[in-house]
Amino acid sequence: MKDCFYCGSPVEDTAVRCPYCGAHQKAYRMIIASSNQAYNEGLARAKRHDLSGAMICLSRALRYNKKHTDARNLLGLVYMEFGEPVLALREWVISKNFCPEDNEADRYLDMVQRKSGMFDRIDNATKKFNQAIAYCQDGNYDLARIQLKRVLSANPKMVRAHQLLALLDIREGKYQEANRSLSAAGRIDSNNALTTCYQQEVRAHLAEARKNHKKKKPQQSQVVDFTDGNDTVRMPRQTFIEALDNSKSGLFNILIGAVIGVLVCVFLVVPTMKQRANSDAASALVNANSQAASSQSNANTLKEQVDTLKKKLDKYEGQADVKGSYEQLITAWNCVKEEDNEAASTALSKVNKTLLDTNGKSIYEEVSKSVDAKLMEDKYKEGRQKMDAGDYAGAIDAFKTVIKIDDTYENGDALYRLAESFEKNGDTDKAIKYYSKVAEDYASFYKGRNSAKKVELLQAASEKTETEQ
Amino acid sequence: MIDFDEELKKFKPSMEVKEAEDAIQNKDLTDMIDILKQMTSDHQSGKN
Repeated sequence: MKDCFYCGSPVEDTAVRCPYCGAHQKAYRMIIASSNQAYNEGLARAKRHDLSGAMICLSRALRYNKKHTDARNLLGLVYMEFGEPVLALREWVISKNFCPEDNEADRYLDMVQRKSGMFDRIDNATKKFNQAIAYCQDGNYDLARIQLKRVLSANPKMVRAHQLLALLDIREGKYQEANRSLSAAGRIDSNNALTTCYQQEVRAHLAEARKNHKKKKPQQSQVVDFTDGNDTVRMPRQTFIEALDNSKSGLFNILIGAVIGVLVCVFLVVPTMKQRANSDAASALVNANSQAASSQSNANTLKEQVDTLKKKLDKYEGQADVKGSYEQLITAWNCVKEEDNEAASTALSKVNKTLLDTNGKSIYEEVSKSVDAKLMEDKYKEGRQKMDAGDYAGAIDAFKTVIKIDDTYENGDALYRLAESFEKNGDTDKAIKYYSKVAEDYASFYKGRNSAKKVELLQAASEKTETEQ
Repeated sequence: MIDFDEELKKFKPSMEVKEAEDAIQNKDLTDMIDILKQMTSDHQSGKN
């Protein structure tokens, strides 16, 4: 059971007319069948890439039944493949209006909208194609050719653009180029009547040309076309030798350029490189010098440390360890008892006082005091004897040893006699120095007052001598 | 032999995007079913 196409009442599948409204059901079924048949044929032709034939069949199917959704959607696809996207959009929009639910046209429209810039590209290509037609009608065939190449770079499937380009080539006798354009059109739409017509014309001319110029090379066009971005550039065709002949001055210019390049390299680049190398070497030298100075400084520091340590070592050299120090101390003690002052002094100098304990240190002090007292006594006596004998230098040595141990020895007598020895030995400055000390330390004593007088006399004599000189 | 000018007349301008809306609205979508409906309607009104 189906619904009547006119009143919607249910009717038998085989009924000729609707029992309610009398509408001719058989005619309706025939129309639907014809529409389906045309759709099937269109689908078969589309599968064979016979786009023109498919367009005719699908249009016929839609003339029978405008609500044949599959036929309309397929017609849109065929238009798209034919390079007419605006017509494709038109069919899909109509299809969606007739059948808003569950329609493939939705997907196609979404696909076109999602591709960014596709609408603009389609519109620009269409405008350029229309412009190319206008150029052709005005006789501007070169501009038309340029526009058509732009159209094809944006929309390579536009069959009509291929055909129009082929027509322009045929007009100019460029049958090879025309053949190429028509082959491209034929690959898109395999059974297009216009393409076939032009191909026949072109093939006839090509066959004739082959026959006439069988042994001749096909004459090349006098101009060469090439595309630079969106622009098509045309220039006279030249062989490489011709180009060289025509550009001797160009070669000369290239040579001059090369010479200038070499000179620039020699006078600008090389000195700069040398200067940089010198600068690098100088900075390396400075670094090396600073490193050497630093090393020298380190070496000096280490040397100082070595000297200090050596001094410390010298201080301890000859001194014994704890056991040895005590042995030397005992030796010195025995020598003092035997009144061998010199041996006692030698043994005492070998004792390391810092290693001794408290008792050892007190014994050391006692022995040392005893040795010093004896030494001072001997030296003082020696000094006086040498003074009496007129050996003032020897006396100075003896008294110096005494005051080195105790400068108050014999209540300053040792110091006074040292000053006297210097005076008699002719060393006025030293004499004044030691007389001054005696005058200062023993001012209330006779030797102090006498020393003060001596200082005055010696200073006066010294000034007098300087004045005379 | 192809007549260039005659052939050129076969090339009509393509429909631009801005023209598509008008083309959809103005397209004659009458099909055979519409005609059949019209005939049935005419037939019924003649009967009455």
